[in-house]
Amino acid sequence: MDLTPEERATYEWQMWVLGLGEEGQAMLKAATVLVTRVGGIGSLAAYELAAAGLGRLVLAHAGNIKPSDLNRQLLMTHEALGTSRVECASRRLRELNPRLDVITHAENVNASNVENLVLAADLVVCCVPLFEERLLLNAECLRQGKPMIDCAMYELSGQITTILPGQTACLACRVPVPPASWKREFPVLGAVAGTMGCLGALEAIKLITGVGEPLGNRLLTIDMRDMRLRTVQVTKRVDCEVCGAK
Amino acid sequence: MRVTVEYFGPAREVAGVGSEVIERHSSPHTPCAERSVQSLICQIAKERGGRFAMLLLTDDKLSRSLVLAVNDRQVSADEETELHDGDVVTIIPPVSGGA
Repeated sequence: MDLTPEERATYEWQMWVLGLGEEGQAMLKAATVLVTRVGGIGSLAAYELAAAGLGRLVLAHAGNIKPSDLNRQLLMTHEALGTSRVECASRRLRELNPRLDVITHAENVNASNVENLVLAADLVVCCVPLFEERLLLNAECLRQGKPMIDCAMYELSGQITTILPGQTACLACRVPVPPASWKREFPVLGAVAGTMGCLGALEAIKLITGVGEPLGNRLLTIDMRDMRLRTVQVTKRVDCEVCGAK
Repeated sequence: MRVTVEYFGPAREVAGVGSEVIERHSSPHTPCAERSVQSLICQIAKERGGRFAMLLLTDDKLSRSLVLAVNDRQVSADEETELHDGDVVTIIPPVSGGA
């Protein structure tokens, strides 16, 4: 897919990145990414992908903007309170990149829509608050052979890994069932969620362009309270009910 | 034997520290199971009880959802992995913060 003069001008500095170039930029233009929920993590993931010149974003997130979203959901605005989250997100993304194609679904991932949502994308950036949704996406991505970038945060900490079907451990290898200790409401600082969203976008850009080494079989965990980082080699579970030998 | 235990996410919250050095007496005659990382973490969790134990244990055993690593390599929660002096143990409970 050729770049237009406008795109060459917009992405000039980005194409200087070693290994990216015009070829990588064209790959970004041809790619579609599903970002599930455009909250604290997903807003930043989608925004960075839009800024990088991705061709198409599919967004899934139910509900209308609430005041308590505005500490972290950076694609939402005060003026749009009470209106659809995905519509506001789409508008903000296209203000930054009017060439971007945005497909919106005003619903969260569930058993009935997960197949079509994943089908519409080349890869998935998972930014959802419930393990049930994450595990649904994980299973469907494995079934369709699509990579999933699993981004998560809690308080001042974050975790991210990239799941490559058939090659790496999947989410269910690590989290076979939703842990009882996880609660729907949790402490969130926007800058922490945003950091994880940027890392998620970066992993997506790396997968699309082939630049760098994605986090396959590695779980990056960050404690932003004192900026400790660990990258742990994670292992595929042979008895995993989703990706293991049955 | 001295090992460093590092806590991330909710584990840091319940431990109250990011990391700590733990000393346990052991000798070459100590059975392997008692020198394992699984045994050490179970023992600490039972000693501390409360939210610490609730987060790390399920039915008195290490939770299978916990990522437990020794020197940056994940080890299974339910198979014994022998610890050595100077090892770094990392405890990462799963989190799902998004939205």
